[in-house]
Amino acid sequence: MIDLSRREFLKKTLILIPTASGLLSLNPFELFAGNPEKELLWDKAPCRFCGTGCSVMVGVRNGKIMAVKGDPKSPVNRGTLCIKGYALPFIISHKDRLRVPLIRKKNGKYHPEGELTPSSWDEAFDLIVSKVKEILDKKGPSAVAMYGSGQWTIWEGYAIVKIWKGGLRSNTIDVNARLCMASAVAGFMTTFGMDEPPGSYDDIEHADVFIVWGANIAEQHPVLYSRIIDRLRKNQNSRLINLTTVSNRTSEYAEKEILFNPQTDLAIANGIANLIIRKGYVNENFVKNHVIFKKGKFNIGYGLEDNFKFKDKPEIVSFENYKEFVSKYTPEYVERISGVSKEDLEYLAELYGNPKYKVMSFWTMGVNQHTRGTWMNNLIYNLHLLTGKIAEPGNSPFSLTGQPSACGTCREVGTFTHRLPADMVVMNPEHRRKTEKIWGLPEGTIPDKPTYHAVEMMRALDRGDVLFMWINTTNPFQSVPNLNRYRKGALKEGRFIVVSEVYPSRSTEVADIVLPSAMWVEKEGAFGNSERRTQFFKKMIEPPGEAKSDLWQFLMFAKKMGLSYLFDYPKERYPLPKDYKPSDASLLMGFYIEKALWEEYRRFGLGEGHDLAKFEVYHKTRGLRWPVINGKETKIRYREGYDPYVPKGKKVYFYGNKKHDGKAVIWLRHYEEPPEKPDREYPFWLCTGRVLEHWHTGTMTRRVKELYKAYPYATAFVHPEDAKKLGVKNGDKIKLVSRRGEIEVYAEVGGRFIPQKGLIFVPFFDEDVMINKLTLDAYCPISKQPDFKKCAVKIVKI
Amino acid sequence: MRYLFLIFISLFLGCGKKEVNFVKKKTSLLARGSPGMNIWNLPEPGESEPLERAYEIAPPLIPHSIKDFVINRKQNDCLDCHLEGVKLSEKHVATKLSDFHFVNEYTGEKQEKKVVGMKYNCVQCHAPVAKTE
Repeated sequence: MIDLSRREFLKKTLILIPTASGLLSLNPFELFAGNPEKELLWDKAPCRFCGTGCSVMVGVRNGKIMAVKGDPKSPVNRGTLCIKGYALPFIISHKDRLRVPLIRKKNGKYHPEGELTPSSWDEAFDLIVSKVKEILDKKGPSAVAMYGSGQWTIWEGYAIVKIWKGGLRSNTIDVNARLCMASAVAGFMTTFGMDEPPGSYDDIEHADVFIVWGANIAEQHPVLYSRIIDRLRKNQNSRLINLTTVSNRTSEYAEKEILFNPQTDLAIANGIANLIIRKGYVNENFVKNHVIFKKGKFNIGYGLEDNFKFKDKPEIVSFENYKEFVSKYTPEYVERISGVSKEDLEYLAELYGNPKYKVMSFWTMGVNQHTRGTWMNNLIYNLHLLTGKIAEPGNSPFSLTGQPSACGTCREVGTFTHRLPADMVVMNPEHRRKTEKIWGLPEGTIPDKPTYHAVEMMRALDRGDVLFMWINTTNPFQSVPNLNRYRKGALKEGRFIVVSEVYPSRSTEVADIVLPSAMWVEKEGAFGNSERRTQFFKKMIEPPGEAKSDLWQFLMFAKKMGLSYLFDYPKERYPLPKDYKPSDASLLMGFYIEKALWEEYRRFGLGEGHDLAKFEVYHKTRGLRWPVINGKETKIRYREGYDPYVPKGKKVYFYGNKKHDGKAVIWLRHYEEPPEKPDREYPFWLCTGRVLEHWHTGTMTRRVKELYKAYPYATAFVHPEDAKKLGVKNGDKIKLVSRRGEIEVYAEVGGRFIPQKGLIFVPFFDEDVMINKLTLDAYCPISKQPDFKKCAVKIVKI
Repeated sequence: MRYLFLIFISLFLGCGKKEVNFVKKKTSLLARGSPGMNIWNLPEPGESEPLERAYEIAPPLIPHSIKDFVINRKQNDCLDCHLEGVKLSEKHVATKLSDFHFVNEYTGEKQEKKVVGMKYNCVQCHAPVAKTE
């Protein structure tokens, strides 16, 4: 199929001629220097998409975004963007934008079997409030659910968690970030007692070795991949290793691609640790002074049953116990399980172990979306802790986050069922008290038990334990695993579903009410990225029609629910901004609500290692990495000289674990089998994931002409040998079937992804290829994050 | 079982909530099944015209196949033609890289006819596009 000779021919017969100036090459700088720079009003905003947190310069004229460019002043992206970033002007302007509230009506009245009909905001909120009150009376607060997002701005997350936990007294609030980085959080909490990475992106410019665990960073964090490339090109001794189950673009620049059998990363990490010990690469001093060892439960289950409960029982063990524990993971044993050769394992152990290399580990969904996701996070930290390669420039285990504010909003504000701001939890009476005090609420207001995490919330909706669900800034009815069950659940009688969205989606399909949201620079916002960097943006343009920001929607809901007292701030202290557009939420309240919320939210983190700067500072900077102390951000935490929280003379101090004298934890975590493996009937692994050109479920990016044409539909990537055996050719339509559902999809052989033999890779962005009908809703019992990377399927030729 | 089957069918027919209409009938979702977009067998390099940009400073899309192109430490197949803007035939001249690619505005790094590291991975911003049929 591939006409290689044709390309070879072209390459050989290149005729170098200088092009006529300006005719064939369009130079962005020339154009900038001319019209756009002067005619457009430029301002900064963090990108709407991934967790990298690129800063974008947005060029506006006559209330419209005319162009965007990478912010040259941004320390993150340094003047570049990715293809999605350049498409930002178009995600807001498609004709399908939702402009008015829609209520499902029959003969002019709400009816669950009616058609979505344009209605007024008042009518929509009156109906929402009457439903919420009815369900609160009938079933209690836990039946009223908020399903939110890592794409919320910080104050949207903060306002809604206050409304839900402090106002409705319901802990039934969880976020799509549960599907994305809950295992990362659980990993940080169990190892360091504190969330988010010790280091920052700055480590890239100091590292010699980049080891990527199950993350296609070239497509999912493209700008960081470019920063790695920049480092590799400047430092010829540096190298990138791609550990993966699917050969992908990240392998291109890698010195080595190491393919492993799904789930066996657990064995590989333990195998590396074993070799580090055997080769004498343990940093004994570091381990003695800064590490303790712990063992938890084994055979912890998969959360496949409704109402599944798990509680770990950690116990402190000795270094000797740990050595004995990992001694089982000999190179031979690891090779047998994982398929990774003894040589490759020794190579990895040399890179992690040898003190001459500074090592960065990167991971996202392969490690997090894992029925042992928390364990896998722990196991990567183990390698950095054993060798002391942590919390110094270039030595940095780095958990990448998927969404623009999964860190800033979901994790830092605490929009999970069990969480409160600044790493606090509802189960802890002191944490509840502190929260109630800052919120000005009586003691005992916040319920002391978490209710439903994202997957269980869907199950509760299906069972009827949750009857009201407000879905905001996300599209679960395309993105949750085992979709057939939950879509049916949403359609059961007595369920009331509200969806705040910008475009029609697979979730608005099942909604009773659809609320049109303002997005990105149509409102004032704040995001927090993967490296603890908080970035603000102003409102630059008006939303279409009657669309309103989610903060406005939450405040309006509070007002109508009689919860206005939650946002009763002194108006005179927060005058509306004069130099730029106040948001719709601020206009609704008559004062600068974003600032009021920020100043209150800040109080949670001050002195707790989560210190944030004052409001105005963020509008003036390209963001700051917390903790921000005396106006100074923190690039590296836990090390003296970098982090003011480390007591003098301690050198390294993991202050999240004060109860362990500031020591981090090396965990004894085994390799355990996944809940479903290929067998005779379903002989293939199914792995799902993302692609560069599309954002998550594609509701925005599939409406951008350029992105749509670049990647119009999802295909099923099949290994060439498997394809041959099955008699499937590139472009053939096939049926994929699992125990839970089936879909039709085009097969792609030899494209961008080449899966290992026996594995099918399908992206989940395409609403016409609902791959999550096939996926399994098993999850990590500690983090409750589902595993989208492993289930068993068969291929049927059509 | 018949009931489940009916729901299943109704989901597919797009006639919604409890076997009634879906919103997508009124405010359309994207083209179902994406007819008319062909991602297979794109033109070879040197056999297609440049595509119009989304806006002046947007990175142009790629009008040809990049199948088996390599962008790694030793090799960057895109640059073979686009670094200088090579004449490929009587009709076709490859689009020349703009100066944007030779500077890192943040660090101040500037290179003569050599792409800076941050801008070396061409496919971060440029993608080949499907044929419209």
